[in-house]
Amino acid sequence: MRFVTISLLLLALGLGGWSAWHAAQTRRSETSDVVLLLPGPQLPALNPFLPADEAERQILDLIHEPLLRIDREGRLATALAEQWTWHQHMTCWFASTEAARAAAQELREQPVEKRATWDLESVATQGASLIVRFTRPESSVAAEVQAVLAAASPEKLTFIRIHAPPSARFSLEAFARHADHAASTKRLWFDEDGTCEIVTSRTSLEAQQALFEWLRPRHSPVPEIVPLTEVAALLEPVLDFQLKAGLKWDSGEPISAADVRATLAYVMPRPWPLSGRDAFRQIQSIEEPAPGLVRIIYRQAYSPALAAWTTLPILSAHWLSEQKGDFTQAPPGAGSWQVDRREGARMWLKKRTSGELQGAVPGIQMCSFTSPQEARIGLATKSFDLFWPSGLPREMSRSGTGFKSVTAPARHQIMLVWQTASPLLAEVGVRTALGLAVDREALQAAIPGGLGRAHYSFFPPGFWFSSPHRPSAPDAAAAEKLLSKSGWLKDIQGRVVRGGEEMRLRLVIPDGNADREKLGLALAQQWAKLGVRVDLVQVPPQNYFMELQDGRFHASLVGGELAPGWDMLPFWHSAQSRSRGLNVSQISDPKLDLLLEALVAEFDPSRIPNRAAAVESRLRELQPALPLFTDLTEIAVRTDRFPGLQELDLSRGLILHDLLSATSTLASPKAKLQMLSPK
Amino acid sequence: MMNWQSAFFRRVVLMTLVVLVGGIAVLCCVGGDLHLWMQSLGVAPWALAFATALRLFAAMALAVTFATCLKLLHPPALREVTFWLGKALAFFPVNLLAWSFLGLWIGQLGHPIWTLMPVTEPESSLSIFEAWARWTWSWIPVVGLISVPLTGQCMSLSLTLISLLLAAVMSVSQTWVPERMDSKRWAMLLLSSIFKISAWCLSGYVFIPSLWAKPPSGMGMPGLISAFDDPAAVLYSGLPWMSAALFVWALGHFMRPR
Repeated sequence: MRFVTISLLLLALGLGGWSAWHAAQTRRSETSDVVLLLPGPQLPALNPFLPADEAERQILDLIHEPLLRIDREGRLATALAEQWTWHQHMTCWFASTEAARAAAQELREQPVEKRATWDLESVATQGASLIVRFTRPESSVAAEVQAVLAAASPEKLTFIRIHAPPSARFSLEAFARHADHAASTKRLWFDEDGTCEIVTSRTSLEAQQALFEWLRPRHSPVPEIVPLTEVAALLEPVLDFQLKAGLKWDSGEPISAADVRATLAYVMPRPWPLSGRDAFRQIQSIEEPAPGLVRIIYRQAYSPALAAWTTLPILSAHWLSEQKGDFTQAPPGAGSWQVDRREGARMWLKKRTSGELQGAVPGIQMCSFTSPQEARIGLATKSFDLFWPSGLPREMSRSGTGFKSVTAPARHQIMLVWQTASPLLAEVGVRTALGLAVDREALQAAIPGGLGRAHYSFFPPGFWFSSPHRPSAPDAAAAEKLLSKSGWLKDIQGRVVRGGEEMRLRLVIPDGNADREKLGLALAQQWAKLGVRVDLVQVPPQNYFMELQDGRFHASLVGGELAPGWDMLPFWHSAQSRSRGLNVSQISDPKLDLLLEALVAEFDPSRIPNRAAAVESRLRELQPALPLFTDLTEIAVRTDRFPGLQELDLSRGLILHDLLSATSTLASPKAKLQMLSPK
Repeated sequence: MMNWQSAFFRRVVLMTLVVLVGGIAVLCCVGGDLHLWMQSLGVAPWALAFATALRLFAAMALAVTFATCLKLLHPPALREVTFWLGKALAFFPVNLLAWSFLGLWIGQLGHPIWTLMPVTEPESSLSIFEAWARWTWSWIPVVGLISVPLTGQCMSLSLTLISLLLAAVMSVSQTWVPERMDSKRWAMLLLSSIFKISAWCLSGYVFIPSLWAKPPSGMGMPGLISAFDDPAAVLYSGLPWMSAALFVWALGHFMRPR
C-alpha cells in the first residue's frame, strides 16, 4: 500500500514536471504567424479611406495597393503601375473633318528638327478635332504649334463658369447632352460646391445666352454665368500609368482603368479624409486606350497630382458596383496580403503567393486588445511580435521584454503661423526673433506623453524632396538683439516695448483642445522670458479657420496632415490670402509666388528637390510660420521575430510593410526597384 | 460507519436539501414553468461542470496521496508542526496562490499556461508528444493549485493529534469560563476579540508587514499586474487572511472543541 501511494505520487509529480518542463521549453517556430496586438478592443473595420489609427492604416497598407508607392527611401516606386509618363494633349476643333486632317498634315510636314524640339509624339484626328500629343507636359512648345495651326483656322474655345448649386448638376449635364448643344460643348466639369465650367466652341455671348435660356425654366434664380477666357486649343496634361502585367482581383478579373475610375467615383462624393483630394478634383477623365494602360487627363498642369496616386488604394469596380451605400464589409484589396478569416477578436491575413509557396510564408494574426490580462500574458510569454504602445495602458506599454521601440512615419505636423499683415509682426526680424526664442525640446514636454518629433522644415519629412534635417537651436540673446534692431527694447519691468507700446501677442488656438492649450501655455512661458506678453485666446473649432482667415490673431497653432505631395502653394501663395484660401499668414511675396508656381509646374521628379529647396529657402527668409513638430507613433517590435530589423534604416520611420521583410523567413535580397523618371 | 446520526449523513442530507431548494428557487424564478425549467438543464454547461468536477476529483486524489505520503514520511516529533502547517495551508486563499503562481510562471519566467494564452500555435502543427504535453499542462496547474489547500486539510485531518495548543484552548474553555457569565455571552466576547485581532492583522497594525497586508482586491487587472511585477508580495498578502481564518477556526474549536 505504501509503495502504491508513493508510486502514485511520484507518477503525478513526474507527469506534472514533464508537462511543465515541456511548456517552459516551448518556442514559437519561425514559420508561425507574425502576431500583432492591436491597440483597440475592436478589430479594425478596414475601410481603406477611413483608418481609425496608425495600426489600421498600416494594416490597410498591406491589403490595398495604390498605383504608386513611396518606398523606404522616400521616393516614388512601383505598385500596381510599373511605369508612368506625363504627356500633354493639345486638342483643336475645326469646322470640318477635312480641315482637321489638313491641319494634321500641316504639322506632319514640319521639318524634323522643329518637330523634335517640340517633343511631338503623335498627331491624330478624331472627327473634326485634332489631337496633338507632346512627350512633355509643359505648355511652352504648345504655343509654337498653335501658331502653325492658326493658318487652318481652328475654332475658338470659350471657357464659361456657372456658379450653380450642386442641385443644378443634372440639368447642366442634360444641357451638354442635348442635341442642340452637344456638338459645341467640348468639356464639362464640376467642383464639389456645384460650380461648373464648360468649354464650348460658341462665342461667350452665344454660350451665355444658350445657358441662360436653358437654366431659366429650371432654376430660380438663374445661376451666375461668367465667361472666363477664349483659347484656340485645349491643353490638357495627361498621366499614363502602365499597369503591371497579370494583375488580377481574387475574382479573376483583371485590374484595369475601370477600377481606378470606379474607386474615385466612389470616394470623391464621400466626406472621407482623402489625401490628394484637391489633385483628384483636377481630373477630367480616366480612359483605357489599351489593355493595362490607365490614361488620366487633367484639367490643368499640376505636377503634385502624381504624388496623390500614392495615397489612393484601388478597389475593384465590380465589388464597388455591388455596394449600395457605404462599406458594410471590408473591401478586397489588390495588395500582397488579404484577409483570410475573422474569428471573434482575431483576424488572420495571408500573403498572396503562388501555389507551391502557399503555407511556407507565415501569415499575420491580429488580436484586438480585449483585456489587459490577456495582453499582459501575451507580452510576458512573447506571444505577440508587435504592438503599438500608445494603444495600451501606460503601465503595460513598458512591460514587454525583448521588444525594441521603432517609430512610424510622421503623419501630422503642427506649426506656429504668424499673421504677417499685422503691424506687430510685419517685420521679418520680429518674427525671426520670436522664432529664435522658441525651444522645441522644452516644448516637447507639452506634447501628449512627451511624444513628438521636432520639425524644422515647411515640407513633409522623409521624401526625396524633403529638406535635410537642420535643427536650429534656440538663442535668446540673438532674439533680443533682433528685437532691439527693430526698436523693441526691454523696459525696467522686463517688458518688450516700442514707443511706449508693449509687445502683446494674441495667440489663437482651437477651443477644447487640451494639447494645443498646453503647447500654447508653454510657448507663452518661453516668450515671457523674452519680455513678450501673450494672450492665449481659445476660439470655437467651427470658427477657428474663419478667425485665422480674417487675420484676428498674431500667432496661431495650426495642425495638418502631412500629404505626400510637394504643393505648398495653397498655404503661402498671395492668391490664397485674404479670406480666399489657406494662406492665413497672409504672406505676400512675388518671388515666393513664382517659386511656388514653378514647383507645382515641375514634372520632372529629379528637379523637384531643387525647386522645393528654393521654396524652403525663401520661406525661411520670410518666416511666415515656424514649423514645430510632427507626430510620433511608436511600434514595439520583438527583436527575436524580426532579426532583419537592425539592417533597416530606422530614422525614416517604419511601417508593417517594411517590418515584414525583416522576419527571418521573409528576408529577401535588397533590390531597389525604383521607378525611373521619363527621359 | 455511516448512520443517520453520523456527520457524513447530515452533510449529504444538507447538500441534497441545498440542491432541492435551489431547484425550487429556479422554478419560482421562471414563474412555475416546468417546461422552461427543464430547458435550463439543456443549456447548463455540463461539459464544463464535468471537467471542473474531474479536476476537483484529481486534486483531491492528489492531495490525499500527498498527505498520506507525508504522514508516512515525516517524523513523529513534527506532527504538531505538520498539523498547524496543514491547517495554515488549508486556510490560505487559493486565488492568491494562483495569482502568485501565475505571476512567477508567466510574469517572471515568461512560460505559458496554455489555457490562458492569447495566441497558441494550431494543434495541427504539433506532434503527438507535444500535443499530449500541451494537453496535460492545460489542467495540471489547476489541479496542482487546488490540491495545495486540500493537501493541507488532508494533512491536518489525517493527524489525529489533539495539539498542545488546542488542548490548552479547550482546557481554558472548560475551566476559565466565569461562573456568572453564560456560555453565549462568553462566546460573543471571544468572537468580537477574534474579529478585532483579525482586523488588526489585515490592516498590518499588529505584526503583519504592510507589504503583506495589501487587500487582495486585485482579482482584476491591478492584481494581475502586481502579481506579474512581484509574485511574492501577492503571496504575502494572503497571510493575514490565512491568519484570520485560523483564528476563526480556533474560535470554533474553542466554542465547541472536538
